[in-house]
Amino acid sequence: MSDPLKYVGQPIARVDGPAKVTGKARFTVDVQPPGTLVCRILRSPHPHARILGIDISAAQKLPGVKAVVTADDTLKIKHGFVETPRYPADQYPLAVGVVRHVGEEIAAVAAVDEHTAEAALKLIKVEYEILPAVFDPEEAMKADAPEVHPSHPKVTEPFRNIAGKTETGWGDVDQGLAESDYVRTDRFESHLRTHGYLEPQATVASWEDGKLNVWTSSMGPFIKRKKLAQTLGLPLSAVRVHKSYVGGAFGGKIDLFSHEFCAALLSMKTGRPVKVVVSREEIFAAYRHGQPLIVELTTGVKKDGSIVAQRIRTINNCGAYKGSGVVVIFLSWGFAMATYRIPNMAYEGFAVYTNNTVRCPQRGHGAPQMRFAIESQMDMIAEEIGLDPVAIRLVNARLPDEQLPNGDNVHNCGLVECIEKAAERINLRERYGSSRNKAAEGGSLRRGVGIGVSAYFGGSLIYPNSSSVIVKLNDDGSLIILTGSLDIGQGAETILTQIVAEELQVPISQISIMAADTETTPVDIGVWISGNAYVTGNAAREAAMAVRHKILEIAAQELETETCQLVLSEKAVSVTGAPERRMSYAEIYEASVRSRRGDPIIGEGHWRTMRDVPTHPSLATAKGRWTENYAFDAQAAEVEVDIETGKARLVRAVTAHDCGFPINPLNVDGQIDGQVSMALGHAFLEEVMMENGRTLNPSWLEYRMPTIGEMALSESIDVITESYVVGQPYRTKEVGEGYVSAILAAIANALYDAVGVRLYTTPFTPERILKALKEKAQADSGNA
Amino acid sequence: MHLPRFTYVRPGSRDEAAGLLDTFGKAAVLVAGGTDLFPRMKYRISTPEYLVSLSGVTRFLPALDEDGALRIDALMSLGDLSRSPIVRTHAPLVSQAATCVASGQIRNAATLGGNLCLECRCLYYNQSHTFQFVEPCFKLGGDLCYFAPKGNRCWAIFASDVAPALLSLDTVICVTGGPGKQRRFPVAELYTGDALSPLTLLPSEIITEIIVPSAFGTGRHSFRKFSRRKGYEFAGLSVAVALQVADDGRTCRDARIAVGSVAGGPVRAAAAEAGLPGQDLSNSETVRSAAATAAQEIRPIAHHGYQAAHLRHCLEVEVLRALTEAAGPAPLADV
Repeated sequence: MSDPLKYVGQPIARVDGPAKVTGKARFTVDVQPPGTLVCRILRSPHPHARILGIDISAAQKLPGVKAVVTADDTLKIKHGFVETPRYPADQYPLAVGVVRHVGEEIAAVAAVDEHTAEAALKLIKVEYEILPAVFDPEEAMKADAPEVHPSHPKVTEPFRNIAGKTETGWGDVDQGLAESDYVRTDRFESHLRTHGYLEPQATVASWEDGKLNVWTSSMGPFIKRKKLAQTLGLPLSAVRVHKSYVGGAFGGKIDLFSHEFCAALLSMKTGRPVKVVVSREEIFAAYRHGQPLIVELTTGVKKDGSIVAQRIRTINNCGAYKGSGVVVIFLSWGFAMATYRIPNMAYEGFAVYTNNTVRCPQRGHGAPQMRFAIESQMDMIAEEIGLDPVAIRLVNARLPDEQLPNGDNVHNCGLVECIEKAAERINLRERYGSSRNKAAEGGSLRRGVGIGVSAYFGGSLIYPNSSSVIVKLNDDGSLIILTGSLDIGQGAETILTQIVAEELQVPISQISIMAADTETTPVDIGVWISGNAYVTGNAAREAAMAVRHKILEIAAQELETETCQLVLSEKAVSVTGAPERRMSYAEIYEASVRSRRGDPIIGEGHWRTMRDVPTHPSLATAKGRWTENYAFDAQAAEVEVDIETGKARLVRAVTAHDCGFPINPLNVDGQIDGQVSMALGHAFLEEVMMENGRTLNPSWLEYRMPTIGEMALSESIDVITESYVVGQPYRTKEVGEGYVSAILAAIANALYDAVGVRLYTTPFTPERILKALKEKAQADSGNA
Repeated sequence: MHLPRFTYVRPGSRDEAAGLLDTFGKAAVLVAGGTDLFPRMKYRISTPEYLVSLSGVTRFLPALDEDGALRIDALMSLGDLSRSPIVRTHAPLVSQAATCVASGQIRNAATLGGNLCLECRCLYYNQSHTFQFVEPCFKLGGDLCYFAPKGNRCWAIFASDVAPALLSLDTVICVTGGPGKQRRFPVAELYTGDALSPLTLLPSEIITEIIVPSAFGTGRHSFRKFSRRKGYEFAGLSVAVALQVADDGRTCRDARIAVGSVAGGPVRAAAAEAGLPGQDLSNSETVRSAAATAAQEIRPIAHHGYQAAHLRHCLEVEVLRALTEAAGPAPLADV
């Protein structure tokens, strides 16, 4: 029996909290080296046009302008979210010859102040030849559609504008559907949303003595270093990305962005630091958002509700370049197969180029869209065959140790318990269907409940594939952690500190953390594939363990005992049963330096997921292992609908989650609340309204993020399936983005439960709800 | 985004401010709280050379006239309006409408007069027009409306929440155009109804105060704001209802129904109002019929993602709710 955990698993306050609430935390916008120039970027006003000429001479002559750059000043090296042999880099940092979406970057200016920089932009003359444009993915697939890019050479269908295709499956779907007792086909559509990170993107670049120093709003410094070095033609060692705190990202700050490249290039040209802060309007109208997916779903089940076969076709409106559009069609498959047993499956997903802004990951990265479709249809099937929503999910839910078709294993999967607990908390079995279309207290309000389930991977293999951490003992017994991990508000610095504190029994306040600097901290996978707590966390644990071994060896030698007789407590080691035989860490440090030829006790740790797997799975065939950590959850929603105005709201959300082991329960609850908020925004409020490639609502005022007034009561239930034992590797699961999906589906199902209408398209606006209610009323009166 | 360059002047009185507006002409814009102006300046859709600020002007506290009318300084902040005991007692509808505006911070900066003088809004106009939507619309000196390309007028909407409330209370507006140039007129006359130029004020005129007469001020009332979120938003539509009720507590003596965010100015549902005097307000058919009439006579403009047909439907729903609340025994706490 091990000692109870003192730091890990405890609700420890955020270590970055005091710096942030006192304004001391340094974000990129706070970085202001002397002589910094201001950068502004010229963007395309057209969704699709050939650039016939660019005249920058007038801008260059404007007093105060220090440099103007276009593609001709660059090496014309492409970059991409994906850079593989099948999907090579496809986007120039500044447009070469053609612009393919409104807001695409054409030129950049560095000037002494923002007024001058903006005046210079107006002096740049670009001659365009307008090209036909296409915005709807199904239109873009047609043989006569305007061509954004040629279709991928390996795609054999006669479709235009295919950026990529994922095709996979197993069993025999046709036979499975034929053998099913009940089959149905539905089509679901999701809309364009954006991340809503509060800190606008910003970059400071400073070229000094052959080295490019960069501070930027990111989700990991190492990927930024790689892409900057690549596009600027610099060796990796000539680029240093420094730490900046980040004000939220949600997937939106991974890619290389043109403003980062331009700031760097302009600094190299001028020899002065260059700063660019992107406006909120630019972010809304020109930057990367999430992915609007069309999901066509055919499912066959037996009378008991068990799935026999499923055919899925997804179409992703991928925007003007590949972005992560070719990834989301792969991931969507994963989000379809991880939760339920599907004996026969056929999946195909198309990423389709259109003249819209480029897409990137957004919290869930395809899961909300896919779970909305599958879980909505699950309830429809259940109703048709006379099962309740809980029963049909329990019949199909994956059980512990199930092997997945791609070779992954779900290990200690807690899905069944999640479903049962979420349903029980909201009393779903009793309430579902019982109050449909009945006014609780008269009036126009109706309430309903619904459930959804989801699963999400934690960590995968992608550049740079691994994390390392260094832990150093100070001569006063305190500790320093060096990690390349970046705290983007999710609590990375806190949980790494907790893990090191636990392994070495040093109070949190005695541990300082140096993070996210490509030169002074070791490599890190980045904080964007839900892998930080698992990959970097295990690296931190390994590093702490190395320090622990050294401490124990020195103490055993000095106290003349065996290491197994020693216990760690409060920065000291003592002999079991003889607490007076004790050495403080300060004394151990001194003894180590004295007796081990100066060794000051430094530990290093490394971690890589799936150590026997050579690389990430194929995006085209989904073959190959994806992850070793699936988090599972069931979420229940209570929704209220005003049948007179069509306005609906989430009243209550219950999240039963198997996140493995909560290293910090406060962070877990915060992540869940944040995802409930994001999902209700997805369901009811948020939409990037675009017409012909232009954005109608590029502001916080009209992109309706939920406020505290819309936030629902959010409850969470821990389904703990893993444990943390000091000195042993742990297998925790992710908590940062898996819980934004099932709740969306639960909201859709609760809406149906409240008023008996099924919406196939997000968001569930008052207009759509009212229209569906009217159609239902007409159908009901027709049947009567 | 940052503000363009401008010269800031801070006169000590409203008359002095009016004089400066007269001197600078079109190069100057009056600023009180700035919550409507500054975002437009950041978008460069308003680029005044001079800002004439009212921040140095002495303000007075709301007070009752001998005849019971409530006088309110136009520089009173919406936050103060929503909190002021005397306003809450003698013009509760104004207080409620002010409470519905934006957010706490914005209400603390925004003023009553500023809210009455909001610029009309639309998704196209309220942008920076640097790289998208660069063609100038009517409001930007061009000759197109993005949303009604075949039309020949501006379809922006006037989104003040306070204006419909004042309209339903027969409020009087007092303005100064400089020493000896004061005038007062009913609030309805403040608005042209034309989104291109929504106010009737002369370029140098400044609203100094408003007077809420006692007749409606303390009568039965309701204010309803239909929007997608509870805060931070302009209304999809807003409805203010004020009723004078006979001593029997149910017979309508007079009624006002004013609607905001549906046109280039606040509008009254005159036909619906006209049908109410002499009617029994406790009869649900009476209020239902009035709401239906209001939805007949007012045709909301589609705006900010709201479809016209849906707004019209919700107009009827909200007018019905407002009338029901106003006619009901107890004032509604939650608006």
